[in-house]
This record gives sequence, C-alpha cells and structure tokens, in this order.
Amino acid sequence: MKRNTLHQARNIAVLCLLTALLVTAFGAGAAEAKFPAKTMTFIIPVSPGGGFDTFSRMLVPYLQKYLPGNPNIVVKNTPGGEWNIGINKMYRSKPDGNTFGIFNWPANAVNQVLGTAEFDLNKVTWLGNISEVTYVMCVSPKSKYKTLKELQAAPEVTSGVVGLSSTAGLGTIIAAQAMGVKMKPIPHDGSTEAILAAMRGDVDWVQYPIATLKKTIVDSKDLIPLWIYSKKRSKILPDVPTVEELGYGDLTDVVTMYRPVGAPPGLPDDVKKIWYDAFWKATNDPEFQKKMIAANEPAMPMTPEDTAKMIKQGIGMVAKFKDLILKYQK
Amino acid sequence: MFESALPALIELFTWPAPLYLFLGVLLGMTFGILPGLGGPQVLALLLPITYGMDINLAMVLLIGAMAAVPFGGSIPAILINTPGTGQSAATCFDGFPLAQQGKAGMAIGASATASCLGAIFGAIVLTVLLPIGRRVVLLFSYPEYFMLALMGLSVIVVVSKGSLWKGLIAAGLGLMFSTIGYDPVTGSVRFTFGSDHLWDGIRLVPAFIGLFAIGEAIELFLKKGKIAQVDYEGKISDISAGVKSVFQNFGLFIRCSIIGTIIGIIPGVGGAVSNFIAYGHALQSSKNPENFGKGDIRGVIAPESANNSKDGGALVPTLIFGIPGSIEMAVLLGALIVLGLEPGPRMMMENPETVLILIYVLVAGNILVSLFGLFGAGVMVKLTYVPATLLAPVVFMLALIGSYLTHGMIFDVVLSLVFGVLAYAMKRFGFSRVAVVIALVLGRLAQKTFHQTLMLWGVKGFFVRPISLGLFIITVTMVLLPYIQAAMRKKTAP
Repeated sequence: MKRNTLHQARNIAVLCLLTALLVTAFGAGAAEAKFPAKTMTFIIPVSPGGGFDTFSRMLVPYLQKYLPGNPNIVVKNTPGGEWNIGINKMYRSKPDGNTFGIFNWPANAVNQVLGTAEFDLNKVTWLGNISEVTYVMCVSPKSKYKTLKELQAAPEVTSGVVGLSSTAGLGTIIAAQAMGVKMKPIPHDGSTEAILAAMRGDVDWVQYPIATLKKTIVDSKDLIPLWIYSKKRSKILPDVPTVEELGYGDLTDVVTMYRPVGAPPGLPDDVKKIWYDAFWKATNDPEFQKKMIAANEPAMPMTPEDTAKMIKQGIGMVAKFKDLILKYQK
Repeated sequence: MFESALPALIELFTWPAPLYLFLGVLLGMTFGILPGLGGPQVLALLLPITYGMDINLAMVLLIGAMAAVPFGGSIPAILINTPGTGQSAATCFDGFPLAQQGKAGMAIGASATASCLGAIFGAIVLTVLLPIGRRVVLLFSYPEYFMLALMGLSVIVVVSKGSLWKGLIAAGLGLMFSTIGYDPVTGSVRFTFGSDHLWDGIRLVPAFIGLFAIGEAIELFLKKGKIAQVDYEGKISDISAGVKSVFQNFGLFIRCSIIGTIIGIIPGVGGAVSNFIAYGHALQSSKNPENFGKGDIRGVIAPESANNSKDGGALVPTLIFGIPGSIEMAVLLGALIVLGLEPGPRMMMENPETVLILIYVLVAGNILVSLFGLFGAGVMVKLTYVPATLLAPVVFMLALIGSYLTHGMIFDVVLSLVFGVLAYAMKRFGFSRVAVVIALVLGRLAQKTFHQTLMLWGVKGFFVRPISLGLFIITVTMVLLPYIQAAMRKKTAP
C-alpha cells in the first residue's frame, strides 16, 4: 500500500517535471521568434573591467529604456582569441535582433585583413557607435628623448604595447613608421603593465586613451604627453599639440578608437528599424551622455549608415598596413 | 587622511551599511565556494545594482563581497580537493589530506584564522604604505617578475619528493601547457590546433577544476568509501586547534602575509601566484618538508594568509595610480568610475573618507566571513563523511558546471575533463600534480618577463638590479641548501 502511493507520487512528480520542461521548451521556442524577446544578450568579447566592459554596461539601462517592452539585457563576457571568440559567437547567432555585441574599431579589422577571422565585418548589421576614443602619446620622464625631433634622431626607441592587433599596438607601429622613428615594440599583457613600464622608465613611448592616462599625466605628472591623435585639441589636455599640427594629420584616423555595436548579418528590416531607433535614442539620452562625460569619454552617437561606412573604410586602411603588421608578428 | 578615520568608521556602522556588508559577504562567500565563479563575477553581478546607490554603501557591498571570496574558495579546496577560485589552489595540497585524516575542522579553523589575520595585515600595510606606496610599486620591473616566477618554479624541486625525475617530467608537462596560445613576444599563436579557444592559452580555472575536482571524483568513484578515512566523532575541538595552530606558527604567518602583500602590490603578477610562492616558502623554510602534502597544517596557513593579505596589497596601485593590481581591482575600478569616483592620485586627497571605508570594509568583510566559516565548520566537515558514491556524482557535476560558468563555453568543460583524466593517470603513476599546476601558472609569466628583460637589457639585466639579484641568490640557496646540508652531514659523520 505504502509502496503504491510512493510509486504514484513519483509518477506524478515525473509527469510534472516533464510538463514543466515541455512548457519551458515551447515557451523558449515561442519567445525566440519575437523581437525584442524578454531577455536579450549583449556580447562583450573581453573580460570584465576596462573600457569596453564599463561603457557597455553603462549603456544597458538606456537600451532597456528605449527598446519596446523594456527587455532584460544580459551582459555576457566572452574573452579570448583577440576578440575572435566573442565576435564569432555574435556573428553566428540567430539574426533575430536579440543578440548583439560590441566591437573594437579599427583593431578588429586586423584579423580579417590577415585572414585569421571567420567573419566578414562588412556583413555585420551595424546599429551605431557608443563613443570615440582619442589617444595621447606620452614619453617616460626618464627617457632620453623628449621631443619628436629627438625621437626621430634616436638610434632605437622602445615602446610599451599590448598585442599588435589592438588600437594602441597597431597605432604605435604605424605612427612610428610614418614619423620615421626606429621603433622596438616591447609586448605587455595589458595597458596597466605597459603604462607602469613607462613610468619606471623601462620603455620610452606609450600611447593610450586620454581617459586612461589622464590621472597619470595631469594629476601625478608621471608621464609627459607629446601629442594627441585628433583633429582638434583636447579639453582635458589643452596644451598638448595634435598630430595635425605636427604635420601627420593622416594618423588621426588610424589611431582613434571607436566602440561600435553590431548584430548578426541579415537582420529583418522591421527589426532593424526598431533597433536603429532605440540605439540612436539611447546613445543620445542626456543622462547617458552626462555619465559618459563624467567618465572622461564623451558619447559619440553615429547613425547605422555612418557606422557601416566607417567599418568599410577602416578595413581598407588596415589592409594598407598588412605587410607592416606581418613584419612585427614574424 | 587620518582625520577622517573616525567619521569613516561611524559611516560603516550606520544602518543600513551593516546589512549591505552582511549581504555582500554572504554573496562573496557563495561565489568563492562555487568552483568557476569568483571575485570578478560577483563584482560584475553586483555592478548594475549599485547604479544610483550612495557611493559609500556601494563600496560596502562591493568590497564586502570581494573580501569574502578567497576564504570561500578555500572551503571546497579543503573539503573536496576543489579550489573554489584559482587563488585557493595551494590550499588543496595540505588541506585535503587533513580532511582525509578527519581533520577538516582543524584545516577550516586554521584557514579562517589565517585568512582573517592575513587580510588585517594587508590592510595595515596598505594604510601605512599609501603615502609612500608609489616608490614600492615602481621598484619591481621585468627581471624581478622573472625572478619571482623562478622562485615559485624552484618549489617544484622540493614538492616532488620521491622521484625528482618524475617531478621534473610533471613540471615539463606544465611548462609545455603554458606555451600554448599567444607567443608573448612575437604575437603569433602556437599549438592551438586551429581553435580560437586556445589563443589565450589554457585557462587556469578549468585546468584546476580538472586536475583537482574531476581527478578526485574519478578516484572517489573507483575507491568508494568516503573522503575522511576515520569515523565521525563530531568533535568541535578540532576547529579551535586549527585557530590555535596559526598562533603557534605566527612567524610563518607573518612571513607569508608579507609575501602576499608584496605580490599584491606588484601589478600583473596576480593572485593565483601568491599562494604558491607562500606555500613554497613554508616548505623550503621548514625543518621537516617531508610532512608537506600529507596534511601539514602549515601548508594551509601559508597560502591562506598570503591570498588574503594580497587584497590589501593590490589596493595600493589601484588607489595610488588608478592602475588595477588584479582582475578584481580592474572590475572594481570600472565600478568606481560608473559611480562617479576616479581612483588615482586625486581620490586620496578629495575622498579620503571613501578610501578609509574601503580599507575598513576589507577588514570587516574578512572578519565576518571567517566567523561564518568558524561557526559553519562543524556542519561543513560532515561532507567528508558522506559516502563517495553519493558525493562523487555531486562533485563531478559541480566541477563541470563550474568550468562552464566562468566564460560560458563548452570548450572549457572539455578541457577540464581532459585534465581530469590526466590528473587521475598522474596520481596513479606517482607524478606530482602540484608540479604541473605550479609550472602552468608561472610558466607564462616566466617566459614573458624573460623575453622582456632580454629585449631591453640583455642577460645582464637579471643580475645588475639589486632586488632581482637578491631574489636569484635566495632561490639558488633554497634549492641547494638541502644538498649542502646533506654533504656536510656526510663529512662530519665518522
């Protein structure tokens, strides 16, 4: 008797479980077709911490605010393979608009140009851009070379870089070549280590975003800024000349980093329309913009068309330097 | 800064700050216990909650969670030979053998005490160092990093008792694993077999989970029985014996706390390294190193004091330069920026109260989590008396979930399974898993800093800098000392 009830209870439990599973499976199936789904995924192909992660997370509440139905947006960090893993994940996900990701521009073009990527960035559905990052070039206070002329005359200048397919690394070797500086890049694991190396005087040259270096330049004066990669002077560093003033204006496009956001290729037109509208409104939200300014990186909204155009030009620009990159990668 | 010492303390005890501290610590401890999840994940999870929160309260929540992670990670390391985070890996070496002897309570007691006191030590150093910290941070460059890695690697000679050759083979295997992925110098990828997932090398968390948890689960499946080889007696005195053991080995505790703090201060060396170097130090400075690995309480005290004192150390570069000393600090830095604070030289002058709250919470969080540990130890040790047939499947499942959780990639699960089988085979044939782990962790650091030194200064770079040379001499002495002593004994013997 007791055994029977136990059996019955177990059967009922199993049945309940199966029903629950089925319901969730169907529920999930039904939800996937919808846009925007209740839960959307924002892929960040780098580890938590750092600009891409911080600013993506900063944008999330505003995307939620402007997407119809205020969906829940889950941030997913998928670091590895110099962005390849995360970009691939996003690129191959279902083109329903519920999965999207952030990019590092123009650094992400490097793998495509070298043929080590399995995606075509020209086919990505570009939604817009979060911000533009201006780089500042600094020398160590302990370096023997403190002006562009001295750098050009030096037998060898060392620089602290992080991988050559990063905007900082790629930009450093391209800038050095354009300016005629004999450069020896010393690789580091992260910008942190490279900046500290310059502060110690172990390397001569580093270039990183102004927001990253601001405290080191302005507050503690541990590094000496020589120029910024921009068309106009920065409000944070008003005394530092631009590369334009030094006669190397072309470098601005190579050494400026953008943080565009894209979705998989082949998004349906109605989904695109909703996305374009929501993304534009979110990046233009005054509260969001205020937060970005407070973090020393003003927002720079871009229309989807302008973003796609920038990507196309960027790939062409990086392709010109293919041989130079290969020379350093050996 | 010191005039805000009292107001900051009052802030910490003003409701609802204690509640936030409690919640943060509870969450941090849970994340620490679960393999695969750790400091960066708990901070990333809490980040959106802190938007719009009062800055000081947000700090209490975030730092409280961060402080609780290392001790949380040590609990499964002791009980089921599975480090909850990479920082607790060295705790397995002696903590688990203690659990097997039915002394899990003692190990947890020692771990809780060493963690708590280690954190307080780190916090004191942090407070004292803040005004002069920048000089300390800038003292260390590539040759010093390399010598630290070499020092850690030299421990392999001591841990591979029995057969030195087998130890060296295991270390060679670990070093080979550490060469997978990006070449730190040329930037080309090596031994990736066409997989993007191997570009960044073997990830430490799935490798640790495989080497320890899955290896252990396989062993449990095959051996049956239970973890503790003795019968349950339900004694509480074990725990207090663990607490006492820290004070009995106070010199070791202080030395290991210093090691942890220094490694924390140096950005880029990482928390996963501090516990190994401290463990190695305990081994090399011991009169009877043959007891280590078989359940020596000093093997628990050393890594535990180091992995907690390093948090205080890691805050030095974070607060002084705004440069993160560890991954946790990088996430924390992001959180502070979102909250409208900018860590760095100016924060120290403009928000001294926040800086002090940060230090206080670090201490308070550690005290709280250690109390949780001490009071919960009685219940937790019962886990080691659960029959293996029940425990092993749970360990196995937790291990697989854990390896998936960190990055949400199936590849990591496969990786941990491969390492699990490897671990079982190694144990079966008497190869040291510890050697593989140490080589895997330190191999990359050694390789990178070796090349950086050569590129900038050539071979002489290692020997012309005082700290680097000093570390080198210490390492050589440590390795050769046992042989010299043995030779001397032979000579004096009739």
